[in-house]
Amino acid sequence: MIKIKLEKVSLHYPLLSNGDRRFKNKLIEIFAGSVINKKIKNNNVIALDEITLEINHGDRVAITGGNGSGKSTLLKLLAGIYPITSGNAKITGSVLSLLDLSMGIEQDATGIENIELLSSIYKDKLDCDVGEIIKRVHVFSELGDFINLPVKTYSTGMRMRLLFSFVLCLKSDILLMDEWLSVGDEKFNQKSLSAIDEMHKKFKIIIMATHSRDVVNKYSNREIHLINGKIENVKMI
Amino acid sequence: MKSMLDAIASGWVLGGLDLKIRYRRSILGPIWISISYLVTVCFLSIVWTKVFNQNIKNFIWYFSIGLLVWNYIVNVISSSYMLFTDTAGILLNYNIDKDVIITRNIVRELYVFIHALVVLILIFFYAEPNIHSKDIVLSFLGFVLVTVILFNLSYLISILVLRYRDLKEVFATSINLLYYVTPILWPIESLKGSEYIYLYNPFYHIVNVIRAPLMNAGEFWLESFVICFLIMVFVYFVRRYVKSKYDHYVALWI
Repeated sequence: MIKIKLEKVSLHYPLLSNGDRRFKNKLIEIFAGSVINKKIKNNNVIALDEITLEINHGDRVAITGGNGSGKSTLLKLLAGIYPITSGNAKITGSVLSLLDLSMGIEQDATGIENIELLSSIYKDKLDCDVGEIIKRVHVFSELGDFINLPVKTYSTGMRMRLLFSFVLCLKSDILLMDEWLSVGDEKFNQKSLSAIDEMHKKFKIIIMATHSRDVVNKYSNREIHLINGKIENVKMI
Repeated sequence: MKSMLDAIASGWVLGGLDLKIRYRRSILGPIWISISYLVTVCFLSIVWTKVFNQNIKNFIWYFSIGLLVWNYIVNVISSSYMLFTDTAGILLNYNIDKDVIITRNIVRELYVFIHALVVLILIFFYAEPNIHSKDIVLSFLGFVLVTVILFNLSYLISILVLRYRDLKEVFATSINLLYYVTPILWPIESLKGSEYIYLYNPFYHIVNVIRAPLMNAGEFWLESFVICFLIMVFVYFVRRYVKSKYDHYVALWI
């Protein structure tokens, strides 16, 4: 059974100032002991504070909240990118995370080369071979000849088209997405939202961080609202 | 083991793409690596043959192997300094095995090594060293061992520099110094009576395990091989420990 269960999960983000990163200070810590150690102790930001939630098979969750409320951090934690500082997390099922619109793409590489590159990174999540993926991306993205040009010549919307088309060729139990659909043009956004309907068949759980009420109302069955790293409320839609 | 092999396979493709992209707008492309290596070897060999009163054929062969191996080591180490920062786009987006990133780095430098190796083959025909197929096998074994050492070192350097940025300068300065202390540019014979200067230097053994069989000095190979094997075991276990304890902090430290 695909499931996500968090119990009082917190994440403290270390603020590594220049001083804290310095090896000199580490040596001082080692040789001078706790007196100096107290002065150069790391400061932490409490990015997530005792989050408790349960997300089950079939859930389509929208995470909402203002800037800095912890939406992206929560997704990164669920993706296994960030470690948990305290609490318990149990995630059953494979996780696919699409959090940043760069996704590690190379600006000097063409659209096709970037698809090859991403295929190597997401190797265990591909639902067909690389040749087939390139064909599907070319058709869905509607990038035409631009697919053979370096990505640095693309607009943000075009880059999103390329990446979103690639995402449709991936498979996983759980999909995590972070405000992806805000940069495409109206026509492509409609096409992407229709594609998300298809994605619901492919992914057992979808969690999206979003500011769009439209996305929340149309494509989610639950809304988790965060304020300052805490769950403010959970709403069924 | 399977995940490690998968990581290496992914890293292999990524490293190849990197090289293709790096030389995209260059006419000669990666051939520049070969030209740069050839020019360095020829010019420095001419000068240093006079300085050390050496036979040009012997010296150019000795120096070109040493420089090839040294460049491989230095390139892997120096490209590790900012490896995790440079790949933040991937590391902050997907919980990827860091071995993919490390393999990508090693493969990129392996391609550079292979382009310089072509020049070494040309130098072989000029220098006409007396080597046999057995020597090439021993040298290749040494090369595999060195690559495994570098794989483990690359991870350790990447994570250490990510956490303590000053270490980048420490490593860079040390590597510069080691180039002059390690017998690459100067012949071993010139230190007769003071052999300890290089015998206690692990980088001498890392170079020698590849170079000795190709220099008709196979009797020194076993000692260097054993030392390199011990270095490999050491860095492997240190890397395992560091990876198990600190790997999940990488995204927070970027």
